[in-house]
Amino acid sequence: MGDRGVRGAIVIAIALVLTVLSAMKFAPPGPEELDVYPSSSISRVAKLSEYNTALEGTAGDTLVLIYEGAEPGGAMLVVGGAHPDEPAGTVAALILAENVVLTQGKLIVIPYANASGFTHNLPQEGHPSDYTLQTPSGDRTIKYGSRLTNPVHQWPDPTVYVERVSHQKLAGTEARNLNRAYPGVEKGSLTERVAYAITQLIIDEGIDVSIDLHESSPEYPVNNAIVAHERAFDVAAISTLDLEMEGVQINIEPSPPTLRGLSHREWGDNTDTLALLLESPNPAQGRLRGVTDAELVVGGVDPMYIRASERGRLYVPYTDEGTPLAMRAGRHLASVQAIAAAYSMMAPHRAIDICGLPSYCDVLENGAGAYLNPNQ
Amino acid sequence: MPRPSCGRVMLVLAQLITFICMIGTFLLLAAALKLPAALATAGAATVGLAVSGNIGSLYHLIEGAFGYFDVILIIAMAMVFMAALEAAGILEEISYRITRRLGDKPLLLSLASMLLVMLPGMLTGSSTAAAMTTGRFVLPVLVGAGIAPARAGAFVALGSIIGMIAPPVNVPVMIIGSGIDMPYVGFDLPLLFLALPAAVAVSIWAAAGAKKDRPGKKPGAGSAPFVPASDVERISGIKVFIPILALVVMMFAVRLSNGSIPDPGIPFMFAVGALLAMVCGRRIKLWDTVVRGIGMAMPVMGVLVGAGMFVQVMTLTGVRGLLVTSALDIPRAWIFVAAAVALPVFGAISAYASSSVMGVPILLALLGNNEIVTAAALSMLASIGDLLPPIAIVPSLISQSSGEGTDYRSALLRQATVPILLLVLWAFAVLKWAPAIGKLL
Ligand SMILES: [Zn+2]
Repeated sequence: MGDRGVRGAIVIAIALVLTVLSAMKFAPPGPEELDVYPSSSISRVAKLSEYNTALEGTAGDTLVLIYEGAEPGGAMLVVGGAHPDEPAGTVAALILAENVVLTQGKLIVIPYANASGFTHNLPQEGHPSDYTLQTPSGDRTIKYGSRLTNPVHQWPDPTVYVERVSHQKLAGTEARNLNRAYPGVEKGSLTERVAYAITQLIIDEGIDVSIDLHESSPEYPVNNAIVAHERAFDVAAISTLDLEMEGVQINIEPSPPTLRGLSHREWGDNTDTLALLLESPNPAQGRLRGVTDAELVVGGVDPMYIRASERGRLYVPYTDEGTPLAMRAGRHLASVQAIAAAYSMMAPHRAIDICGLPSYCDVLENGAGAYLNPNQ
Repeated sequence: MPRPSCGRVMLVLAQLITFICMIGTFLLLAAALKLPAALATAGAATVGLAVSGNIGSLYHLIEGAFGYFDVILIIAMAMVFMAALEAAGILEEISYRITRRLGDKPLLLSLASMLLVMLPGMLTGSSTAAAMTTGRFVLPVLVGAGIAPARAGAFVALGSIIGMIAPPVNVPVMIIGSGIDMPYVGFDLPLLFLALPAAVAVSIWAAAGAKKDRPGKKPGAGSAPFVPASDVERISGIKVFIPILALVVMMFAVRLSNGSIPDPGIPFMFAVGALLAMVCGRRIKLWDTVVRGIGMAMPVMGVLVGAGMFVQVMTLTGVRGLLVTSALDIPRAWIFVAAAVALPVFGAISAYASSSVMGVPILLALLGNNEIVTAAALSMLASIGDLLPPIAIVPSLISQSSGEGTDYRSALLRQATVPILLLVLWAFAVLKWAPAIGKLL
């Protein structure tokens, strides 16, 4: 080995040490970091792999919380965290899971639908890996993830992702997007397995109404909205009346039949459920945002968005108050309740009676943390 | 705790200062200290992190460095493939055969070459795939036909970009589409409308150069036409075409199968091509070839790692938001102009990043302007960024693999300047009159 060989060996050794050190920082955390403390109404804590055994032992397996009321009725599914960089969905699902009192029917909550997506951040987005909310009895730190499955768990991406239903072509990275993978494939990629398990859950549990909680950037046209499958249009319309009385302005958007792989389309087409998706405005995932940190995720105030709003570039009202996480999670919670009420009115024999939740105004005033348990 | 809104001006000022520090560091390291662009971008990212008070979060540099990981793998294996073809004598042999057939018919040669160069780009949506496969084959052929090496290199670079834009696969459009939930449907005609005139025009431009450049041409080493020393060195038969054919067949099969054949990925296809090159040409040493290929890829891979860090810090500190908001902070009529400037300029870091970061907000600002034609035109503007310095990824790859050094890259870029400007103007025109063009198609 000559001089060059020695130098090369030293460089490689240094690179190895640096790689090991950074790998320790980036190693995916275990499932215990995705915590939830269900309310006393819980009847069973299940795993998503019960609905697709191909998920067993994988990073895609996640908690499924099942609540049953004393009185029989209908069944509702609420999915949070399909996109782990859309925190209002996760936080609303957690508040629901940790406070709900169910008197009639069945409620199933999946707060971390794409568990793998919570284990990393998307490169170049500069997102924080978590954010902290103050609860009455301590801090609650919640993971902020990526909208895509962790490539450590599913890799490589195809050059072009061909969605399975009508062979629509999407960018290759979308192969790791849970909300482009429905109805899913039993023994497909990790993302497809998760999607399959959720579709199967809807069928096995006889879910009447399914709600997928999301967020979108304030410059995105579909926002502050319920996206409804055509069979779910009526229930969406009735629920908006309730919401408006509570001071929650919300638009109804039809689920476009040409856009495949999304929950509001494929759940509705492949099962008997009424499929709905909720959007709220999250500046931390927008492309106009300024400084990106946990404060932006929770506070929702961004000077760039205020400027864009003044120039008429946004599709949602955006003032100096911004769109705080409490407001966004509060909207989702209020919508879930309104949709349950609307469905119970339309199908009284399949009613779902959800109680114990804070009102929209409560969450707005006291913050989302006020209705969560601290980390244990 | 919400940020006090009275500090808005201060925040924008902070971002401006961060940006100036990052650009300043880059220029200092790259121009004054003559460090490689990879180290200069990484250094600029580190300074940006420090100036914005985030130096404790060094992990952002590592996270950002993975932004172009898949592209880096493609480039690494593409270069190993090229090194194998070169060492096995396959590159020379094919060039020699094409030159003998079409060497005296420049227009026919350049039109056929354009189609060849575009094909891998059309199938994979990757300009690297185009430049490093058929692009590298036609380069010496064009030089042999009397086109100056710099112009021939510019032709290959432009053809790779046009192939990346042309249907059926245009990744920048898919990226823009995923940002506004627009399915990749109905893009074939608008993309063809954009790519076809550009392809023909660039071919004519190259062929016209052949006559003019013929006297006094001085071909360089890597792009020189091959003249076999003796027939003993020649590779006979059709087996010389097997590696490149195998590559194109794999790309076609994955595309036509519509998902039923699992996509092994472009890096894998290049690796198979490199292995085939070993049995289809002269004997080569595996290890030496891999080392040589990775060595050629190293500067470009390094720049992509540095650029990944740079973009991550820009996003984290709000500089990215400041740039995007500023580009949109103008009357709607001027957004077309902003698009024609901002997309290629940001695309100089990465065409894909530009599509996502600039393309999506610009398309949202132009809703109602026939979104399909608009997205197609925006994808062209972003893709042109792959030609532009400081990174100029496609010209860099061509000059690295031809072994002619940085002077060749500058000469290539000088040759390409006017065509690039015309391509930008063409995309701008399509963008501006998208509604009318949409009706026409
Ligand atoms: Zn989402």
